[in-house]
Amino acid sequence: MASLVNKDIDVPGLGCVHVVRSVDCLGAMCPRPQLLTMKVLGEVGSGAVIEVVLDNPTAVEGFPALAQTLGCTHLATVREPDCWRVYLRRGFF
Amino acid sequence: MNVASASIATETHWMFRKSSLQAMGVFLLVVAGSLLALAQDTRFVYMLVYVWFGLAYGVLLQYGRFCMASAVRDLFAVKVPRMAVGMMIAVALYAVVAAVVTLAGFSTFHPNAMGWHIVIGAAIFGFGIVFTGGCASGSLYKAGEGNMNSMLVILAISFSQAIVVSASGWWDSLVPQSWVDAAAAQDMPAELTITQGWFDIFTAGHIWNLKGATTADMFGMAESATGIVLLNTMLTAILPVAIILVALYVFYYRKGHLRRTGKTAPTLGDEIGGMWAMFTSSKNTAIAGIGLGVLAGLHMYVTGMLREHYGIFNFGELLVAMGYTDGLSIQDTVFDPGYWYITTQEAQWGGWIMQKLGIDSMDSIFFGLDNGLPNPLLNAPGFMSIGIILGAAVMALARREFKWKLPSWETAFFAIVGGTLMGIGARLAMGCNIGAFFATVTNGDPSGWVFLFGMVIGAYVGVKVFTWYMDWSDARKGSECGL
Repeated sequence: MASLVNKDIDVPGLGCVHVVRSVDCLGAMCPRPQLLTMKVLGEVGSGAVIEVVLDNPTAVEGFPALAQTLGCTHLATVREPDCWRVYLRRGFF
Repeated sequence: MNVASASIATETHWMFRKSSLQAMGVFLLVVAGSLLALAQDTRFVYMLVYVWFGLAYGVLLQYGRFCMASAVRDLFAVKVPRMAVGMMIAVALYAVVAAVVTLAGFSTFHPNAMGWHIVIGAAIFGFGIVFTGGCASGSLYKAGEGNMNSMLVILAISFSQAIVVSASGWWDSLVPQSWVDAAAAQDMPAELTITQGWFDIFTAGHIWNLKGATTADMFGMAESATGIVLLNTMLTAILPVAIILVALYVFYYRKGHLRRTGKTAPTLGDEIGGMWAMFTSSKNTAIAGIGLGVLAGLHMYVTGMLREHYGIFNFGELLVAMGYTDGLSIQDTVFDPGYWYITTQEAQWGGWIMQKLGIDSMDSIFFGLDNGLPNPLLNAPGFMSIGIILGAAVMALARREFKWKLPSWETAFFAIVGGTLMGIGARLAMGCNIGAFFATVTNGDPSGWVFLFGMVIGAYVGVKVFTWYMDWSDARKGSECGL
């Protein structure tokens, strides 16, 4: 499930980033996280940043490679106690 | 440009974290269990080889998040070749070590019968893995991460196989009369009731009439070093791997790589650099691929040496010598492949539980003639599967990635249906992506590539159906968040 957030988030190592959409993939099995992310990236404009929230280690591992294929930049993967937050910017910057 | 992953700093030294201590606890549990088994009888070392290789497989699978389901699925779902590359690296390494093991005379490998059943079974298996989120070994290591969805998949694989191989009645009408006649012509003991039970008829009336051979066997060079190295390793494993890797680069990686690096007229050096970038795009996966390939080969070597040491061909002989005769096949054998294998021991778990519930399936060829139904505490390959779960748990706990995850109704449904399809497919194809693909092509048996072909077809259709389901499901929910 994806939600509109449109807020500034302080990403460790990156600073303040404006995130337009957040994709909630908690509890999701592959390939749902990848397909949801692909769908949301297709709906945001070039340069927009989305956040993907995951608790599936296998999916997290694949996101940098997924980003390359989807024509976006993997900005960061932030580890939290119960999940990961992956930040992707549409387009190569 | 990608930015390195950031992680939240922790104040506690990693050694003293609760999860690290739990990881150590699981590891010590395996050590204690091993010592207990050896105290009973030192010959249990044969079973412990399975346990410890399983543990190492589990550690590596979790470390590299190595999922062969995603290797084929992601090519169609999101066009990402990362895991397919990792899988090919593992195949190449396993093939090289398998060649050394075969040349040393310790190979435990037997080729599978070649036929259409492999394509059909693998396609059903490949369709199922899209819905379960992992293959048979992937489900084991994800269960080790605390994923209860994967535990449901294992249950579904276990019981579906046990039912498939022992079912009779209306199932028997699924097979042609010619197979029944061919089965009846086999000289088999009456207690196997070989013309009853569709899987028995399929096995005795069809599979036994097919040929299985390594490429070296086909050219009459199975005993020569040239046949083993050139035909089995180079021609059957390394060459196809090289072709697949180049195809993955050309069709899935090259365009994006050249765009990112700004090369408009790439030289050969740029292309080689691109290939290398593809290999190293996920170092964890590549490292796991190397480790799994080498370990899988060594596993055959160690088991082969132990068989020679004890003068046996099958663990069943050792069990008899130790005084354990329950659950053996009528040949006094049990399932004992001597290498990485997943599905048959899970079928034995299901069959053993069914037997305890009063459903006897020892009149089937699968259990009664070949694999037996040993107590799970004496099931050597079964302990390899448990080792994979525990190894993955050790690694997941050490990396603070262990998390009990309850399935939703939807994922539980997919796990049971997908797992059941995986079980049915694995039995029709005589193995899963490990036993019928990974272990075969690396030992010179081309039937594994047929399995991969079938699995790719199944995964392709599965991805189409899954994508359609997601769109339908999202549309039905109304997507209040704008999807």
